[in-house]
Amino acid sequence: MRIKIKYIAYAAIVLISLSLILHFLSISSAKTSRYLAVGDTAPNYSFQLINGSTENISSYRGKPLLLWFVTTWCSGCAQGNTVLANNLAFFEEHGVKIIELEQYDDLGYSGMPISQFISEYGENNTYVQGGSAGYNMTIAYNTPPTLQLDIYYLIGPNGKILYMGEGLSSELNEIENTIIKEGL
Amino acid sequence: MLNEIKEVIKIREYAAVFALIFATTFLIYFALLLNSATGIIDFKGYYIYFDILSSITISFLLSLVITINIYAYRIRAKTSKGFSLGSIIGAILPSSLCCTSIIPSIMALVGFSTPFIVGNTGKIQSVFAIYGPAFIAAGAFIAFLGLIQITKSISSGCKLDSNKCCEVKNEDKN
Repeated sequence: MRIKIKYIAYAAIVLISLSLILHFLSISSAKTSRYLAVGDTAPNYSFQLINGSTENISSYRGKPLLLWFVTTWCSGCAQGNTVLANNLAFFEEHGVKIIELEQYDDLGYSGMPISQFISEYGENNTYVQGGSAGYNMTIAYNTPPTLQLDIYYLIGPNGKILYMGEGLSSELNEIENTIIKEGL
Repeated sequence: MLNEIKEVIKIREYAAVFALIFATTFLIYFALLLNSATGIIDFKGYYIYFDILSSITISFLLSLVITINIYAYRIRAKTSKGFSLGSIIGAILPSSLCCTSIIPSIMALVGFSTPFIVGNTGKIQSVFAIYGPAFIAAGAFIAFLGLIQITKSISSGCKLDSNKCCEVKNEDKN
């Protein structure tokens, strides 16, 4: 029994180490043309908002937009909603629209509805608009294998990507700095 | 068990090792748990308290197990490396596998197609996200089992005297 535990533990360590290496290799390969980058035009896809209306990215031209893809069972995304809710005044002041989209099929595990997710963790704010993205939009903005649970894009009024990253809660300062730097 | 722990910790050298390991592991766990917001789904705004409590518990138990393992190794008693590793893995799994792209990267490496990865990665990752607190509790439990095993082992062996020599308690074992 002791030997078994020992080998299971070693196997787990090897697996986690290999995964970490792979993870970092995947991230470095994210600079290839398959992935979106700062300066690219945000691909135009349509998505459905909570109120049932269908919108598309190009309809937000002329206004800065923070497009955030989440899964509604992800703890980092929940934290992101709380952090964002505490900083909404900044986004309102700079006229930045915020769209939070549940990724396609919640990436295979159905969490709570996106409206409940925003309301429960985002302190009942009504500024962040929730919706859901289809399969093509999800993989265009969140291309596997670096499939993130929490990925966001700051899109300028001209439709170009100004800033992007993973883990909104820890990068809100960078987003705000970019908004200021770009004079939005 | 408490007597064996006291026996080891009252030696200044081991108390220092314990304090050092405790401080280091606490900082690492706390940063890891806080960064991945472990427990926010279950405990909402109170998850920070859960993260603090979990970090203290895991770090305390793990530091004790490692310190007593070092002591056991010195007196040539049976060590419990498996439990220490099990505890570390149990406590690290939720934050490392829930919210990173490790799982989809592995799926891609294994050769699964993009639609399969997109449609199924959540089934695996959500387990670590939703049951994160349970994994941490399991890590603490494994560390506790390790503590029981290692204290039993040293109590049946010998203890170090003031000259750091093995003071034989049970001659059959030595």
